[in-house]
Amino acid sequence: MRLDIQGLYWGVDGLDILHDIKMSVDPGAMVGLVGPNGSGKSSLLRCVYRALKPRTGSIAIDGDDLWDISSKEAARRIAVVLQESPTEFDFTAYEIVSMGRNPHKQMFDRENEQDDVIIEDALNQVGMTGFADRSFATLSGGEKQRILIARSLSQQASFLLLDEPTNHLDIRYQLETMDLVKELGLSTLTALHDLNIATEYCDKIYVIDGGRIVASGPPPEVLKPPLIKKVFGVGSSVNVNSHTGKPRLNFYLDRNGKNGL
Amino acid sequence: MAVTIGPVYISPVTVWNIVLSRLFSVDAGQWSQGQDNIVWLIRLPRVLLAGLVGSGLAAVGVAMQATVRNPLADPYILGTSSGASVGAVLVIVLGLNFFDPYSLSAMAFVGAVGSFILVFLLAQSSGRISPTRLILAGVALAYILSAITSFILFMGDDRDFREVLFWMLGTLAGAKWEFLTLPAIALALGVGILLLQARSMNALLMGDETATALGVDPQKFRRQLLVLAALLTGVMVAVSGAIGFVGLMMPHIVRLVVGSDHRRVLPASVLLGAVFLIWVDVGARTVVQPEELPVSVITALVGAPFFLWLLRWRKNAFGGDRI
Repeated sequence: MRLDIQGLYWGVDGLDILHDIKMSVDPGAMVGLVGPNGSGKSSLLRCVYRALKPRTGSIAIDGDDLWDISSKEAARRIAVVLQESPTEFDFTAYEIVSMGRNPHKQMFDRENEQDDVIIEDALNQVGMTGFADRSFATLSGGEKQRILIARSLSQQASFLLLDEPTNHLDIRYQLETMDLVKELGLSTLTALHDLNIATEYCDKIYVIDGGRIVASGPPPEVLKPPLIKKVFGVGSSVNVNSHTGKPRLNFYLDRNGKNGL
Repeated sequence: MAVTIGPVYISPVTVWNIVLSRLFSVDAGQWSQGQDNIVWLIRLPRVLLAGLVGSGLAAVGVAMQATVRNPLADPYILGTSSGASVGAVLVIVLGLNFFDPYSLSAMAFVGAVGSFILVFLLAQSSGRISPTRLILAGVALAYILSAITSFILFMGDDRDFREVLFWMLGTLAGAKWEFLTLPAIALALGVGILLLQARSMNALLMGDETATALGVDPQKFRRQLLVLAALLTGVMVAVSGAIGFVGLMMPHIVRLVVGSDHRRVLPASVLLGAVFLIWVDVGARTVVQPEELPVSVITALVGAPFFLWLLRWRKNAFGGDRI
């Protein structure tokens, strides 16, 4: 599945927050979106899953404009893993995953055996089969993230959108979650805070700052100290992750205002 | 069954014979006309009405809790009961009687739906309705309407005071066959639509953003649920007064047993609501006989302790083992 965004503007109260966004995700590629807090990462993602309607510009999913298809059709094509919002109402893990079947159901449809198989498969794929009957609220952060990924799998979309999937997770769960997402092999767009995780896992990244895409390309070519200084306001140096052979960034605050390149 | 119980003793066999003979128009008659009247014209419609109202309030409770994503929501959160009370008080105290004998019901319905429309408009902000704004607007409007009710009541006659209070605490005493049709149709339609939307209600409980991602338009869906809830509540309040507790607690009691999935919560709440209110009404008309107690007194006195017990028993529910 292919995503193409052209000339997208979005804002509130007549004030544009996203400016002239141009972005594409090739089939099967894992694309990262990085940028400082308030840069517009989440707003851009929300435009892609239809929670926000762009003022102008187009978002095309496999050639169809996102706003020309029904909300269910959009949900059949794009699955979303958001940062978990707490709820007072307690669902089991299985029930959460089964919600992914919603876009495939018409009003009068009932759940059938095929749905059960899809849900079981999804749980199996994220290694959570034994947790089906557990209350979602009692799971750990990493387990919750897996269940939410399983829900997106049961949605059977070929495009996956993630909003900072490694937030609040310890280092093992961060790596496991990213490995899992990578192994799924779906076309993926993910917002990330951790630039090193972006470098390790993404085929391509977009850097957003002040609502504009300021750089894009393969992570090692994009995430270089001058750009990091400009966008994130920190000094950095690059060495090599001795295990994976990929570049590794080290950061420091430059209090004198002189850049530390 | 509940029909066999009442201030006047009629043996259960006789009661059943009366009901059966009426249903199948067989004449097996060994009972008086008075007994026949009590069972067929007073008790049976009353039991049926209790069932309808209990189901309706429980169903609306489920819908409202999903709509505003708040466990404290009940059918009256849109100001419907306060609006209905204003309508009722106008009829009882000021004697506005234009559609006799339906004035009370009609005005209660108008009050309920009117206050819903107000809350709906007040809660809108740039075309969107947020759950929090909805709750706050509902609560604020309810205070205003209660104040109006109190004011009219205070200016009115002491005899009306008791009647109004009785109405506001809910009563099924007015049940007649001809009052059953409308609530029955409203209930069947309302619950039918809600059942078809059970899956979407699950998605809505996960938050607006997640609901969008699952193919549910939260704004549109919330509007539909609200309109449905307001109409159904309006009908129920019109025929029975503002019966409390059922709509708030039935869904929770059901959730504690069957979990949060609306495909189970909704039918179970509808059933439990009916059974609960039927038996509460039995209590209402027998405990201090020949006097009647307002239904809300019993729903709360019986239901709340049971719920508290269930809450203690299911320690995991409602964030029990979260920090």
